[in-house]
Amino acid sequence: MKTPIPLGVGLLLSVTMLGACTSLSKQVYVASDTSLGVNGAVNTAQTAGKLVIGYDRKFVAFVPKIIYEGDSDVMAVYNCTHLEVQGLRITAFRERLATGDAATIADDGGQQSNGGNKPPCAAVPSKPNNPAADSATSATTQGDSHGN
Amino acid sequence: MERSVPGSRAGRCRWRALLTLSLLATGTGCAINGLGTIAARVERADGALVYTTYAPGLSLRTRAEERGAVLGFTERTCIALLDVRAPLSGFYLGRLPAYPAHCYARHLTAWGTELRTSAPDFSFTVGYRDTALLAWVHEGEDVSYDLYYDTTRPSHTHLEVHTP
Repeated sequence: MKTPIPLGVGLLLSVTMLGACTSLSKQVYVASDTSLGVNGAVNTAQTAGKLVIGYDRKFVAFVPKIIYEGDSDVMAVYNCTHLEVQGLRITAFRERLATGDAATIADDGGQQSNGGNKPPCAAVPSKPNNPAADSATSATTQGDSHGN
Repeated sequence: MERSVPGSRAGRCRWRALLTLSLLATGTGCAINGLGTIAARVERADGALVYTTYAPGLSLRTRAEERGAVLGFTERTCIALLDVRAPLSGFYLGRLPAYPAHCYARHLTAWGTELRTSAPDFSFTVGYRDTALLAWVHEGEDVSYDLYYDTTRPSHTHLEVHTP
Protein backbone atom coordinates (compact mmCIF):
# COMPACT_ATOMS: atom_id res chain seq x y z
CA MET A 1 0.00 0.00 0.00
CA LYS A 2 1.37 3.34 -0.97
CA THR A 3 0.92 6.09 1.52
CA PRO A 4 0.91 9.75 0.60
CA ILE A 5 3.30 11.90 2.54
CA PRO A 6 1.32 14.18 4.84
CA LEU A 7 3.07 17.27 3.61
CA GLY A 8 0.75 19.55 5.50
CA VAL A 9 2.06 17.99 8.66
CA GLY A 10 5.54 17.34 7.39
CA LEU A 11 6.17 20.92 6.45
CA LEU A 12 5.18 22.09 9.88
CA LEU A 13 8.70 21.54 10.99
CA SER A 14 9.41 20.87 14.58
CA VAL A 15 11.31 23.44 16.52
CA THR A 16 14.26 21.15 16.69
CA MET A 17 14.30 20.67 12.97
CA LEU A 18 14.17 24.37 12.44
CA GLY A 19 17.07 24.60 14.79
CA ALA A 20 18.90 22.03 12.76
CA CYS A 21 18.24 24.01 9.64
CA THR A 22 19.86 27.11 11.02
CA SER A 23 23.15 25.68 9.88
CA LEU A 24 21.71 25.51 6.38
CA SER A 25 20.47 29.06 6.24
CA LYS A 26 22.11 29.72 2.88
CA GLN A 27 21.57 26.35 1.28
CA VAL A 28 18.72 24.61 -0.46
CA TYR A 29 17.98 21.38 1.29
CA VAL A 30 15.24 18.90 0.45
CA ALA A 31 15.17 15.63 2.34
CA SER A 32 13.02 12.90 3.77
CA ASP A 33 13.98 11.17 6.99
CA THR A 34 12.26 8.19 8.61
CA SER A 35 13.32 6.39 11.74
CA LEU A 36 12.02 3.55 13.83
CA GLY A 37 13.60 2.88 17.19
CA VAL A 38 15.63 5.39 19.12
CA ASN A 39 16.80 8.48 17.31
CA GLY A 40 18.65 11.38 18.82
CA ALA A 41 20.02 14.41 17.04
CA VAL A 42 21.59 17.76 17.69
CA ASN A 43 22.20 20.49 15.16
CA THR A 44 25.72 21.37 14.12
CA ALA A 45 25.57 24.61 16.09
CA GLN A 46 24.58 22.51 19.13
CA THR A 47 21.74 24.88 19.95
CA ALA A 48 18.86 22.43 19.54
CA GLY A 49 18.35 18.73 19.82
CA LYS A 50 15.75 16.01 19.92
CA LEU A 51 15.20 12.50 21.13
CA VAL A 52 12.58 10.30 19.52
CA ILE A 53 11.63 6.85 20.73
CA GLY A 54 9.43 4.99 18.30
CA TYR A 55 8.45 6.14 14.85
CA ASP A 56 9.29 9.45 13.28
CA ARG A 57 9.01 10.75 9.74
CA LYS A 58 9.89 14.15 8.38
CA PHE A 59 9.88 15.76 5.00
CA VAL A 60 11.95 18.90 4.93
CA ALA A 61 12.01 21.44 2.14
CA PHE A 62 14.26 24.23 3.28
CA VAL A 63 14.94 27.18 1.03
CA PRO A 64 16.90 30.32 1.89
CA LYS A 65 14.90 33.12 3.41
CA ILE A 66 14.53 36.43 1.68
CA ILE A 67 17.02 38.57 3.49
CA TYR A 68 17.87 42.04 2.32
CA GLU A 69 21.49 42.83 2.98
CA GLY A 70 22.18 45.92 0.97
CA ASP A 71 22.54 45.01 -2.66
CA SER A 72 23.54 41.43 -2.06
CA ASP A 73 21.85 38.73 -4.07
CA VAL A 74 19.40 36.29 -2.60
CA MET A 75 19.23 32.74 -3.81
CA ALA A 76 16.35 32.00 -6.17
CA VAL A 77 14.90 28.50 -6.06
CA TYR A 78 12.33 26.67 -8.12
CA ASN A 79 11.61 23.21 -6.80
CA CYS A 80 9.12 20.39 -7.32
CA THR A 81 9.35 17.19 -5.32
CA HIS A 82 7.30 14.06 -5.78
CA LEU A 83 7.78 11.31 -3.22
CA GLU A 84 6.35 7.79 -3.03
CA VAL A 85 6.53 5.78 0.16
CA GLN A 86 5.66 2.18 0.90
CA GLY A 87 5.65 1.36 4.57
CA LEU A 88 8.75 2.88 6.09
CA ARG A 89 10.75 2.97 2.91
CA ILE A 90 10.85 5.45 0.08
CA THR A 91 10.14 3.64 -3.16
CA ALA A 92 10.47 6.45 -5.67
CA PHE A 93 10.98 10.14 -5.97
CA ARG A 94 11.18 12.81 -8.59
CA GLU A 95 13.01 16.04 -8.06
CA ARG A 96 12.95 19.02 -10.33
CA LEU A 97 15.21 21.77 -9.08
CA ALA A 98 16.52 25.02 -10.43
CA THR A 99 18.50 27.62 -8.56
CA GLY A 100 19.87 31.03 -9.45
CA ASP A 101 19.15 32.31 -12.95
CA ALA A 102 17.75 28.94 -13.95
CA ALA A 103 15.10 29.30 -11.25
CA THR A 104 13.96 32.61 -12.63
CA ILE A 105 13.68 31.14 -16.11
CA ALA A 106 11.81 28.10 -14.81
CA ASP A 107 9.40 30.32 -12.92
CA ASP A 108 8.66 32.14 -16.14
CA GLY A 109 7.30 28.89 -17.49
CA GLY A 110 10.50 27.90 -19.22
CA GLN A 111 9.80 30.18 -22.12
CA GLN A 112 13.50 30.85 -22.46
CA SER A 113 14.72 27.33 -21.90
CA ASN A 114 14.05 23.90 -23.32
CA GLY A 115 12.12 25.40 -26.16
CA GLY A 116 9.44 26.78 -23.89
CA ASN A 117 6.21 25.22 -22.61
CA LYS A 118 7.89 23.81 -19.56
CA PRO A 119 5.12 22.33 -17.44
CA PRO A 120 4.40 23.91 -14.08
CA CYS A 121 5.21 22.05 -10.89
CA ALA A 122 1.71 20.76 -10.42
CA ALA A 123 1.92 18.99 -13.75
CA VAL A 124 5.12 17.13 -12.97
CA PRO A 125 4.36 13.45 -13.39
CA SER A 126 5.79 10.92 -11.00
CA LYS A 127 7.59 9.18 -13.81
CA PRO A 128 9.16 10.64 -16.91
CA ASN A 129 7.13 10.10 -20.07
CA ASN A 130 4.30 8.68 -18.03
CA PRO A 131 1.74 11.36 -17.25
CA ALA A 132 -0.74 8.70 -16.21
CA ALA A 133 1.24 7.80 -13.14
CA ASP A 134 -0.57 7.40 -9.87
CA SER A 135 -0.46 10.96 -8.68
CA ALA A 136 -3.09 10.31 -6.04
CA THR A 137 -0.63 8.36 -3.97
CA SER A 138 2.04 10.93 -4.04
CA ALA A 139 2.80 14.37 -2.82
CA THR A 140 4.16 17.30 -4.70
CA THR A 141 5.68 20.36 -3.17
CA GLN A 142 6.33 23.61 -4.83
CA GLY A 143 8.82 26.01 -3.44
CA ASP A 144 9.58 29.37 -4.89
CA SER A 145 11.85 31.93 -3.36
CA HIS A 146 13.13 35.04 -5.03
CA GLY A 147 15.31 37.91 -4.20
CA ASN A 148 16.12 41.15 -5.83
CA MET B 1 25.41 0.29 42.11
CA GLU B 2 28.15 -2.27 42.23
CA ARG B 3 31.27 -1.13 40.50
CA SER B 4 32.80 -3.74 38.29
CA VAL B 5 36.44 -4.46 38.86
CA PRO B 6 38.70 -6.51 36.64
CA GLY B 7 38.38 -10.13 37.55
CA SER B 8 34.96 -9.79 39.16
CA ARG B 9 31.92 -11.47 37.68
CA ALA B 10 30.35 -8.21 36.52
CA GLY B 11 33.62 -7.11 34.98
CA ARG B 12 34.00 -10.38 33.11
CA CYS B 13 30.43 -10.10 31.80
CA ARG B 14 31.08 -6.60 30.58
CA TRP B 15 34.25 -7.62 28.79
CA ARG B 16 32.51 -10.60 27.25
CA ALA B 17 29.74 -8.39 25.95
CA LEU B 18 32.28 -6.00 24.45
CA LEU B 19 34.20 -8.88 22.92
CA THR B 20 31.02 -10.39 21.47
CA LEU B 21 30.04 -7.05 19.97
CA SER B 22 33.48 -6.61 18.45
CA LEU B 23 33.49 -10.12 17.02
CA LEU B 24 30.01 -9.58 15.66
CA ALA B 25 31.16 -6.45 13.89
CA THR B 26 34.35 -7.87 12.48
CA GLY B 27 32.89 -11.32 11.88
CA THR B 28 30.00 -10.09 9.79
CA GLY B 29 31.97 -7.43 8.04
CA CYS B 30 33.92 -4.26 8.30
CA ALA B 31 34.22 -1.59 5.65
CA ILE B 32 35.62 1.90 5.29
CA ASN B 33 34.08 3.75 2.37
CA GLY B 34 34.58 1.34 -0.56
CA LEU B 35 37.12 -0.92 1.12
CA GLY B 36 36.37 -4.04 3.09
CA THR B 37 33.29 -6.19 3.26
CA ILE B 38 31.17 -4.25 0.89
CA ALA B 39 29.42 -4.87 -2.40
CA ALA B 40 28.21 -2.47 -5.02
CA ARG B 41 25.60 -2.52 -7.72
CA VAL B 42 26.05 -0.08 -10.56
CA GLU B 43 23.31 0.75 -13.00
CA ARG B 44 23.71 2.92 -16.06
CA ALA B 45 20.39 4.55 -16.71
CA ASP B 46 18.93 7.40 -18.70
CA GLY B 47 21.53 10.07 -18.08
CA ALA B 48 22.19 8.77 -14.57
CA LEU B 49 24.59 6.49 -12.84
CA VAL B 50 23.01 4.71 -9.89
CA TYR B 51 25.68 3.52 -7.52
CA THR B 52 24.43 1.42 -4.61
CA THR B 53 26.59 -0.14 -1.93
CA TYR B 54 25.67 -2.83 0.57
CA ALA B 55 27.72 -3.16 3.72
CA PRO B 56 27.03 -5.67 6.52
CA GLY B 57 28.61 -5.29 9.92
CA LEU B 58 30.58 -2.21 10.74
CA SER B 59 30.85 0.38 7.99
CA LEU B 60 32.46 3.79 8.17
CA ARG B 61 31.86 6.70 5.82
CA THR B 62 34.45 9.43 5.83
CA ARG B 63 33.27 11.71 3.00
CA ALA B 64 32.40 15.10 4.44
CA GLU B 65 28.83 15.18 3.13
CA GLU B 66 27.91 11.76 4.51
CA ARG B 67 30.27 11.13 7.38
CA GLY B 68 29.19 8.48 9.83
CA ALA B 69 29.23 4.86 10.91
CA VAL B 70 26.79 1.97 11.05
CA LEU B 71 26.95 -1.25 12.99
CA GLY B 72 24.39 -3.48 11.34
CA PHE B 73 23.55 -3.23 7.67
CA THR B 74 23.79 -0.28 5.33
CA GLU B 75 22.40 0.31 1.88
CA ARG B 76 23.62 3.53 0.34
CA THR B 77 22.70 4.91 -3.07
CA CYS B 78 24.24 7.79 -4.96
CA ILE B 79 22.68 9.10 -8.13
CA ALA B 80 25.26 10.81 -10.28
CA LEU B 81 25.51 12.12 -13.79
CA LEU B 82 26.41 9.47 -16.33
CA ASP B 83 29.61 10.21 -18.16
CA VAL B 84 32.09 8.31 -20.29
CA ARG B 85 34.22 7.37 -17.30
CA ALA B 86 31.32 5.79 -15.46
CA PRO B 87 31.78 2.10 -14.56
CA LEU B 88 29.80 -0.52 -16.43
CA SER B 89 26.53 -1.80 -15.07
CA GLY B 90 26.91 -4.81 -12.86
CA PHE B 91 27.45 -6.19 -9.40
CA TYR B 92 30.85 -5.62 -7.87
CA LEU B 93 32.37 -7.42 -4.94
CA GLY B 94 35.72 -6.79 -3.38
CA ARG B 95 37.25 -4.14 -5.59
CA LEU B 96 34.62 -1.51 -6.18
CA PRO B 97 34.64 1.11 -8.91
CA ALA B 98 35.35 4.68 -7.90
CA TYR B 99 32.55 6.33 -5.99
CA PRO B 100 31.00 9.26 -7.88
CA ALA B 101 32.48 12.61 -6.96
CA HIS B 102 29.14 14.41 -6.98
CA CYS B 103 25.76 12.93 -6.15
CA TYR B 104 22.60 14.72 -7.24
CA ALA B 105 20.62 12.67 -4.74
CA ARG B 106 21.42 10.20 -2.00
CA HIS B 107 19.42 7.46 -0.36
CA LEU B 108 20.65 5.83 2.81
CA THR B 109 19.00 2.98 4.65
CA ALA B 110 20.51 1.65 7.84
CA TRP B 111 19.51 -1.17 10.17
CA GLY B 112 21.24 -1.41 13.51
CA THR B 113 23.12 1.36 15.24
CA GLU B 114 24.02 4.41 13.24
CA LEU B 115 26.00 7.52 14.02
CA ARG B 116 26.06 10.52 11.69
CA THR B 117 28.45 13.37 12.07
CA SER B 118 27.78 15.33 8.91
CA ALA B 119 25.51 18.32 8.40
CA PRO B 120 22.73 19.18 8.93
CA ASP B 121 22.91 17.48 12.29
CA PHE B 122 24.79 15.06 14.45
CA SER B 123 22.58 12.09 15.16
CA PHE B 124 22.44 8.54 16.32
CA THR B 125 19.85 5.88 15.68
CA VAL B 126 19.28 2.47 17.14
CA GLY B 127 16.85 0.60 14.96
CA TYR B 128 15.98 1.61 11.42
CA ARG B 129 16.55 4.79 9.49
CA ASP B 130 15.75 5.71 5.92
CA THR B 131 16.96 9.01 4.55
CA ALA B 132 16.67 10.46 1.09
CA LEU B 133 18.57 13.61 0.36
CA LEU B 134 16.85 14.94 -2.72
CA ALA B 135 18.65 18.22 -3.10
CA TRP B 136 21.44 20.06 -1.42
CA VAL B 137 22.67 23.15 -3.19
CA HIS B 138 24.98 25.74 -1.76
CA GLU B 139 24.44 29.44 -2.07
CA GLY B 140 25.61 30.87 -5.36
CA GLU B 141 25.34 27.61 -7.27
CA ASP B 142 23.23 27.76 -10.43
CA VAL B 143 21.85 24.33 -11.11
CA SER B 144 18.89 22.99 -12.99
CA TYR B 145 18.00 19.34 -13.24
CA ASP B 146 15.18 16.86 -13.39
CA LEU B 147 15.68 13.58 -11.57
CA TYR B 148 13.52 10.50 -11.23
CA TYR B 149 14.51 7.47 -9.18
CA ASP B 150 12.65 4.26 -8.40
CA THR B 151 14.34 2.16 -5.74
CA THR B 152 12.85 -1.04 -7.13
CA ARG B 153 13.88 -0.25 -10.70
CA PRO B 154 17.15 1.68 -10.65
CA SER B 155 17.63 1.11 -14.36
CA HIS B 156 14.60 3.36 -14.92
CA THR B 157 16.35 6.30 -13.28
CA HIS B 158 16.28 9.47 -15.30
CA LEU B 159 18.57 12.45 -14.83
CA GLU B 160 18.50 15.47 -17.06
CA VAL B 161 20.79 18.33 -16.23
CA HIS B 162 20.06 21.60 -17.96
CA THR B 163 22.96 23.85 -18.79
CA PRO B 164 22.47 27.56 -19.27
